Amino acid sequence: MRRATSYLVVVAGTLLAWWLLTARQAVAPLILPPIGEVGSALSAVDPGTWAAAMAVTTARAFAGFALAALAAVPLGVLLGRRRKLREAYEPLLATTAAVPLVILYPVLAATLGLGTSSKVVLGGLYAFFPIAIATIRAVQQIDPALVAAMQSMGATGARVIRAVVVPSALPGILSGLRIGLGLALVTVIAAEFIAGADGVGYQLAASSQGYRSADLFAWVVLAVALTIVVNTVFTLFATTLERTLRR
Amino acid sequence: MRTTGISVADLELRYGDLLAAEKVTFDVRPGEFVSLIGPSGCGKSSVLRALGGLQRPAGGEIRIDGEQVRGPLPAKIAYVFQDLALFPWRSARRNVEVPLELRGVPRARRREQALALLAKVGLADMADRVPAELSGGMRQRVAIARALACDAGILLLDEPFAALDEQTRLQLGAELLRLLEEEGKTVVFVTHSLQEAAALSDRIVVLSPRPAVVKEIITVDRPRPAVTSDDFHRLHARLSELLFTSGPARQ
Repeated sequence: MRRATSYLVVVAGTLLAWWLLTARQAVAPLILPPIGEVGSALSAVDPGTWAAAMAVTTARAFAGFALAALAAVPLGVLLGRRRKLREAYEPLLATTAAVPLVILYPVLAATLGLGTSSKVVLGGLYAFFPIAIATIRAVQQIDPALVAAMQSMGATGARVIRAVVVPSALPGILSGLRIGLGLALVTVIAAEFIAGADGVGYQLAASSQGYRSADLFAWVVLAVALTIVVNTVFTLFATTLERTLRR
Repeated sequence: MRTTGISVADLELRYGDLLAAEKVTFDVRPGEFVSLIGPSGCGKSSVLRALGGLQRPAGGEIRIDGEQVRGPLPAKIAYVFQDLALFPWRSARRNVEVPLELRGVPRARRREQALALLAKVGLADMADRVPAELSGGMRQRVAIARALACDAGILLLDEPFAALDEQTRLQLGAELLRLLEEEGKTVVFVTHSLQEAAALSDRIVVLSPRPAVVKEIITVDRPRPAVTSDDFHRLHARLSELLFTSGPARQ
C-alpha cells in the first residue's frame, strides 16, 4: 500500500512537472509539447494503426528473443558445466558481446531485406549474449555439493541437469533472459527506426522526421506502455517457470 | 542382504600433484559403526568421498561386498554431506523424496514414505518447510531422513554435526545411533570431535596429518560408553594422545 502510494506520487509529480514546464511556455513545444496536445494526438492516432505497429514490433522482439534463448541457454549450460570448453569460448563470447552489433544491420538488411527477418535476427543477436553469459555464470556458481549429492543418490547425465543444474541456476538464467528480452525489444525498435515501413520504431521515425512533436510523444507514450506490458508478461512467465522448475 | 561390508586396501588419493592419502587400509564389517578421525585437513573427507564413489582413487582399491567401487552405488551406499547438501528449493518432504524419485517410486508412495521418515527423525510437522526455514539441527535431521530414504545398507557421514552447538550435537548423536541400530546400518563416520568418535564407535580409525595414512585402528572394548564413565574418559584420553602429542606417522 505504501509502495503504491509513493509510486503514484512520483508519477503524479512527473506529470505535474511536464504540465508546468509546457503551460508556462518554459520549453519550446518542439522539444516538449504540452501534455494536452500529446493527449489529443494519442486519441487521434487510429487504434488500428497503433495496435498493428505494436503487434509487429512485439512479434519481432519475441521471435528474436525466443531464437536467442533457445540457442543461449543450452550453450550456457554446456559452457558452465565444462571448464575446458568455457576457457576456450568464454573470452570470444565476452568480446563479441562488447561489439556494437548494430553495425551489422546494413549487412543483415542487404542479405535478409528490410522486412521482418533482418530485424528479428538483429534483435536475437542482441538478446543472445546477455542470456549466454548470465547462464554460464549461474551454472558455474552451482554448489558442487548439490551435484555430488544428486549423483550419490544415483542421478546421471540429463537427470543431474534437470534436477540440480536448472533449478539452482534458474534465478541467474531468468535475470539474463529479462535483460535479453529488453535488448531484443530496444533493438527491434531501433532497426525499425533506421529502416523499414512498419512497427513502433518506424512510427517514431516518421513523426520525428515530419516535426510532428505531439505525434512523436504520443508514440513514445505507446512505446513505454508496450515495454511495461512486455515486462509484466515476462514476470508472469518467470514466476511460472520458477514454480514448475524449482519445486 | 541388508547390511554390507567394506574393504579398503592401499588406497591412494591425489588432487593434482597433492598427495591426500596413501596406503590407507581398513575394513568395515557389516553392521559396524567405524569412525575416521584425524587432524583437520588430513584427508579423512577425501577417503570418505572415495568410499562413496565420488572421488577416483589414484591407487589401491575399495570393495563393497567384494565389488570394486568405480562410481556412486546408490543401492548400497547413502551419503550425508558435511554441509548437508539439501536442495534449497525443495521442502523437507521433497528433499527426502529425491532418492525415491530416482528409484522410480510412484508419487503417492513417495510422499507417504518421506512423511514416515520425517516422523522417524521427529520432523513430522516440518514437512512443508524449505531448508532456510529450519534450524541447523532440523536440517541435519532432514539430511539423515534423506539418507535413510536411499534404503542402502551403508551410510557414510561426513562431519554431519560440525555446524551444530554441543548440546544439539550430543543429542542428535544419540538419536542417530538409536536410529541406525534399529535399521541395522553399517556406518562410516568422519568427525573431528573425539567425543563423538568415543561415544558412538565400535572401532576408530586414526589417520595421520596429510598425506593421511592409518596411524592406528582402535577397537572399542565396550562400545557406546556413557559420557560420564571411566571407559569413555580413557578412550578420549587415548585418542587425544594419538592425535595431538605425536607427530606425523611418517616424514
